[in-house]
Amino acid sequence: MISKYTKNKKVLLALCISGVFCTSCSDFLEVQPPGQTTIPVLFSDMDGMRSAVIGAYGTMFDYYSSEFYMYPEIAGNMVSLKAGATIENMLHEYNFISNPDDETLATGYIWKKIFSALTNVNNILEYQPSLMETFPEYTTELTKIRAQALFLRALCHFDVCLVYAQPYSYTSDATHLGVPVLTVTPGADDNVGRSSVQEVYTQIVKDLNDSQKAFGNTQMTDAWHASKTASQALLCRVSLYMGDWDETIRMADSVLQVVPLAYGQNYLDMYNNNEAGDEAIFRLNGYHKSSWFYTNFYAASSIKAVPADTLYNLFDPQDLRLSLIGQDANGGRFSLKYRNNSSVSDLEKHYDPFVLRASEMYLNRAEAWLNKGELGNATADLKILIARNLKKEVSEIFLPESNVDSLQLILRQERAKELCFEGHQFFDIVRWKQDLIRSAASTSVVKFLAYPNDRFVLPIPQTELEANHNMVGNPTVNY
Amino acid sequence: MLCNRFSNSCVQKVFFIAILWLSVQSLLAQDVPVTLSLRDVTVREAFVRLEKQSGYTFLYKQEVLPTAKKVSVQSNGNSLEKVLIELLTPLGLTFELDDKVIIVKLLKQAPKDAKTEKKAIVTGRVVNLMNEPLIGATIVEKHSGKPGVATDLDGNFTLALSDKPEHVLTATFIGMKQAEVTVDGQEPVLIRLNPSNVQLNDMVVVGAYGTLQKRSDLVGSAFQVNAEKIKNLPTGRLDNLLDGMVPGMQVTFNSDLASNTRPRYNLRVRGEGSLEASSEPLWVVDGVPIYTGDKTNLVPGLSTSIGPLSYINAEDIESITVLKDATSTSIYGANGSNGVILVTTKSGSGRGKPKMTLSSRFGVAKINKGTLFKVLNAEEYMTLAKEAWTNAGNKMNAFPFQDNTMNSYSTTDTDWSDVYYGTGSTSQVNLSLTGGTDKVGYYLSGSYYNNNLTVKGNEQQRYSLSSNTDVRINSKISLGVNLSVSYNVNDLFNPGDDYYNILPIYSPTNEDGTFRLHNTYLEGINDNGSLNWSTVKFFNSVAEREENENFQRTLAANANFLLKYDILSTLKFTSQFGVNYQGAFENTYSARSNWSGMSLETAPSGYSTRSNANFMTWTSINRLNYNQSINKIHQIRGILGLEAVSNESYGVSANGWDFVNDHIKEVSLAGDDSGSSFAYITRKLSFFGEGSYSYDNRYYLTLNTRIDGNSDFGADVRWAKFGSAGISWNVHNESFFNSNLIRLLKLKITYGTNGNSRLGSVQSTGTYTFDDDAYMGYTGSTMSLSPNPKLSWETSQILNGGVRIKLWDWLDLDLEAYNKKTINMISKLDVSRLTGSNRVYRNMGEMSNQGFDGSLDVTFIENKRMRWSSEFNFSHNKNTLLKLYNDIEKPMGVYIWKEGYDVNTLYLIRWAGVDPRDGAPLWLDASGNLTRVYNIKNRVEWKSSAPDLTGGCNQTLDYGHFSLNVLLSYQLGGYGFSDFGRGVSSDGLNYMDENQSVNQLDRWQKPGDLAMTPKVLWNISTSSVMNSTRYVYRTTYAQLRNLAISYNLMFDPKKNTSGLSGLRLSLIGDNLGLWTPYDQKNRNSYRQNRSGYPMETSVSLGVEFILN
Repeated sequence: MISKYTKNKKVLLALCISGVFCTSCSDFLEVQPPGQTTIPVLFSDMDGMRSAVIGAYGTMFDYYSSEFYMYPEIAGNMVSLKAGATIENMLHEYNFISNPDDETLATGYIWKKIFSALTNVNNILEYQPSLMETFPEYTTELTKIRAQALFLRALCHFDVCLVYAQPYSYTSDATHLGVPVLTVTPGADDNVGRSSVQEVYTQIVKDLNDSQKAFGNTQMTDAWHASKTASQALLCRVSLYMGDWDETIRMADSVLQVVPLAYGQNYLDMYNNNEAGDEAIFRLNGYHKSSWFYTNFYAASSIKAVPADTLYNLFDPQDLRLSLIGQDANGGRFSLKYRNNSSVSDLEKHYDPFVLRASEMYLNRAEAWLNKGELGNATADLKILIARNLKKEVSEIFLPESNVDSLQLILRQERAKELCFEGHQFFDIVRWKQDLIRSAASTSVVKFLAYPNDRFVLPIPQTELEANHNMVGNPTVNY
Repeated sequence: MLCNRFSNSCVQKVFFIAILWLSVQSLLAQDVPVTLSLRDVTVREAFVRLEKQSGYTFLYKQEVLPTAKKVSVQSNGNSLEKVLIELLTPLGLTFELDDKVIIVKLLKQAPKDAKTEKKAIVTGRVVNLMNEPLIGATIVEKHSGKPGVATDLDGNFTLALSDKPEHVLTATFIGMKQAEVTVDGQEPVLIRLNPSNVQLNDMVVVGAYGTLQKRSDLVGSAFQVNAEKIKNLPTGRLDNLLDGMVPGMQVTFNSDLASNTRPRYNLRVRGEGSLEASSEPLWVVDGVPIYTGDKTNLVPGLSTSIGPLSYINAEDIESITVLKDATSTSIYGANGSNGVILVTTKSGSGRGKPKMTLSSRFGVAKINKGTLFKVLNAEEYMTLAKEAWTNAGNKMNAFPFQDNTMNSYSTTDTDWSDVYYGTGSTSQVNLSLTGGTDKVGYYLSGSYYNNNLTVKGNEQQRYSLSSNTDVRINSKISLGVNLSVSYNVNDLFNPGDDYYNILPIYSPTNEDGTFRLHNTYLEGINDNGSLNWSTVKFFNSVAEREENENFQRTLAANANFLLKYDILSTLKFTSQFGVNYQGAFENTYSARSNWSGMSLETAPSGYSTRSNANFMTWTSINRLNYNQSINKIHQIRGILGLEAVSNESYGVSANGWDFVNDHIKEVSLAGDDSGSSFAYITRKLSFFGEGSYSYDNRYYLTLNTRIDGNSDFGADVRWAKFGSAGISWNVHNESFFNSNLIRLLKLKITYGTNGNSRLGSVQSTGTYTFDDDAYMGYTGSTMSLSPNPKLSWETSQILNGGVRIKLWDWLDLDLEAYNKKTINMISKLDVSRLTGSNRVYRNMGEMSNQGFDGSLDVTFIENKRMRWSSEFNFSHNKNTLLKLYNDIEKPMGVYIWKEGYDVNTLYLIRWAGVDPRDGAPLWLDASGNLTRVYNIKNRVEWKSSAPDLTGGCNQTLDYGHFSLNVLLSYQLGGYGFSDFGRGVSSDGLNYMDENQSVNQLDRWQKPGDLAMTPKVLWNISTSSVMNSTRYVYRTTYAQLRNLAISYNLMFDPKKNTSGLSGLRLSLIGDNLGLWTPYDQKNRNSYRQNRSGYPMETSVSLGVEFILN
């Protein structure tokens, strides 16, 4: 008979052997996927945070260099699609027949790409406070990162709201359906629904104000990154959309104190010669990136989107900006805003979508003055721009200073000429509560759409509606 | 929460488990050594001492034991069996070893007085068919009333004969048919016993974690294929080997396209278990899970996936057990839901003289022409092409294929299948040695296998070595080391669809014998009437075959280290550490001399890739096996264990191009190069336990549980519990049950859960990936996968019921029915874009698989000279998708996932033939009306590709020295969509580029024609080639997989001094035929569409020498 003692000893021995393999069960199952980094690990140090910031700018470029940037041009009345344009060239948006199933077209992509950028930005904001605690020595850098991320978050919310929700002015208190407001990245089962446009704009304004505070007194270093000036400029535009004329003017004042206009060759070089331009406030850099709106729309080999006569006919023959409209052998016109003539290799050439620049600030401020009834101030701003465009002195420009309607027409035409192909046109029309009127010669089947109109927004993608049961669609276009 | 508990009290947990740990691993009776010295004790006392030493329990009737008689036992390490023989035989008793029970019986008639009757003595030897000695066989003289004797370690016996004039001896042995021999002289007799079919069915079945059970004691569902069954089958790869052998298991091609000359197979145990996690069974070799590729058996990091199951030498396999229901698979927890296949390799048979087996096989193979996809010859092609050309409104003088200096279309007629297929050959030689002493058992083998495929340019070679050694250090501790290593050389060339697709009017070479790289055809006629010739590239893969390189070299190793420690006679501890390693090197080079090695601008470049992919799985298993018998009636067993598994894979790949010439090839010398790498790690940790209880061989109960942790899942859901319960009832062992008709009646029912964690690499915490040009040329990181902390295991709930009934001695039916429900099914689904991801894996949906499977074993004839036995197996499975995410149906290519439907449901537009008026294609619209418009909205749920019944049939006929084996597999019902057939029935659309199915000959030609193929129109799409039911075939077939005729010769070692004790010659045919009921002569049907390549038929000659 084996004694109790030895018996126990033997059980113990067996245990020891097995115990070796179980010194720490939970550690054994903690595995980092090689070649990737889990989110908490990436944001555990400054290097990871910095790379995430770079990545976030990259995702912003991705949506600015594709459907989102084209949509307000295609849906507006200043750009025509040539025969042969396909649904990939936004034919649905051109003809206002976008449908919720357009998952791999503008309807799906704009939604997807903006929210993809937003999640990357929100992750930065989510992990920034813990890094501040861990690395107090990097407080300055981390604060600036937060300031940039807040700006980017505001921009994402603003942009997605322009496409999928009626403009701020659609209802008197902007309580109509907006887009989801996201300040943290939701999980697969969180199913965040839509907020009202007012709530969306409240968040945008808050983020921009917070951003400006966080930037403090730091100066803008380049136009390729967010800055205090960029925050002010975006707030200027947001305020304009909200009809907050005083804030629009105040912000434009701040911006224009530090950013000049670009003149002459410098103006053209910011499109054609790899330069940011004197008047650039915020611009996304496409270095080593393919540019979808360049290759799919404006490339010489397969031009699909061209300036409509409604646009071309607005220009004075002396206009500087006519240098940005080319003409082929058959008399067909095309935009040269995305034609890079710099003498670098093709890989080095980049096509950088403008987000904010000084010319827009003059236009914003002029519009605010006009709405406030201060025609003199409005005229002054317009004259500065027109003089620049006609390569004249301001004193040489004469405008009908006492006629509101005439001034408004000049302002709107000037806005169309200045910001064409830069993602403003259609958003301006709907924000002005205008009907969409295209020329009779337009290649679109839609020549006229009255404001207000359910078709002035894109449908919420069907996949989103199916995956997120708190999501509601847009009237008519979704149902 | 669960996880925290584990992490906080890990060590305590282990103690807790160990204290409960009660278990024993069964050892074969021959292996149990007895060291005992007893003098003049009662028989019962001797029994008690023997029980203690051996772990066996004696069962006997009281009146049998001579209570007064004193006996002595002297044994120093002798086997239990030998001790028993010495102890019991003089007492007129005999015994049977029944699992862990020794049943002591009286010999038929009690001995009178043995000594007085002793007249003559006979000596002899009892062996099995392979001339291996049978230890412990019982030899009795018939009608003598004398006790018998048992054979010794060498199978020898000595028996005193009665004084009767004629002596007839009977020899019996468990698992063998009783034999009778008439003895007429003093010559030693050799008695060879044939295996008994009925007894064989009660074979020992290998179960999970070191358990061995007799088939009649099984509670769960396990089907075992022993070495004998596979010895004549092709040994190239293991997965394919089991086709048609295991009820409930189906082996099908992964693709019906010509995508890989080493096709991947889908193995399905009882249907598709999952949508997007793996549906493949788990392979466990000698207790250690092995890597068989990812969830569709694809091997990452290499451009050609060669099945890792081809790296195992089938000759080393002792048995393959397929576990199917919850009770047998739950203990494998999170990976058991698709069934578990346990492979046990041969081990040292314990004591005995070394036995060496040398076997060799050589065979030749040809493609089976009946299964070769039939395409047009040159004349037929030209007729159709010209007809299509003019039908499309073109003028004949502009017909593209007109003779020119480059191509003589009118005289060329190439059968491309001849260009790509040749005569294959297989040769293999295997040398194995087995033997051992009291302390050491060993099995050694070395093997070489070579297969030249019928697809030219393909060769598989395997050099393998295997060594299984068990060392008994003392009565308590033993050590086992199993090593098997194989080096696999695979030369690859995939003609893809070229062998049927290239036009017959092209030739592979130019007139000067060089490979053809250009063809010239007429592109049109210029305005001035001159001909506009166009010379285009001809992507001639024959040149690629001859000039390019594509090979893999893989080292595959299985190593297993086992330490066994018998804590008590009833409680054994086993610590096992196993490693499965596969390191593959892949080398491809595209030569500058053909298009594959040229740049787009046709500049010679040469492309080279060098890839290395390593897959390493290590497993550590520590378990306690407990086995206790109480009062000889209650049998209690248990297992408790801990298993840790780590899967790691790493790979690098380098590409080079712009070589100066074709001799360099190495990436380091390329003009330009690039590289990449990958790595994956998954870890698992599991605690498992099983307890079973049986009462009097009548009632059985098994309970088991497993707790699994997996690093792929989020902390919230990382741990999961699985468990099962099963009962069975051996009705035939009841005292009230007394039937001469029904010899065995067993009922069983089991229920339990298991899981599926095999998803590939999934991260629940979300991941970021890096891009070196994220913004302004700087490296940045973006989120690639949003956090998904709630993703967890798929769970299967399996209910299994079975009945086994044996009628007379010769009919044995084992039937099981099951209902397997998969819940929390993992599927990659659209997710709200607000998360930053498009699709994530989610636990959504439910699916059921219901069906039955079974086997029927019949022995039709059994007598002294002849034995004919048959095994039939069959299975039926019905799959139903019960629940999908938000009821959203999901078209998946030509299939659809829809609630209430089979996951294999085809989703197609119904083809309605050809309009006899003008030869236009017709379809049915969604509401069943004829339409001439192809519209994807007219798709309907069509038939299911799941067959009604699948299975196989194995016939064995032994006649004297000859034996014949026939293996068939079959499938009844089911519909298959053929991608293959679709590609070559283009009705004119692709006539310019692709040869066509001979079925195109049945085209519409004139109004009124009731044709199968629409009017052929050159380069004009009528949508008739789009997916529709036109390309759906019924998939009923029967395949003659294997036919083997063997001649077995055994030599009596006492007479034969050559050292040779046995010889076997075999003539083997593989894949001799495939039949389908829908064949049309000279047309293509399912028979030609079944896989991307025709079947390979081979005939081989095998020889086996046994020396001991």
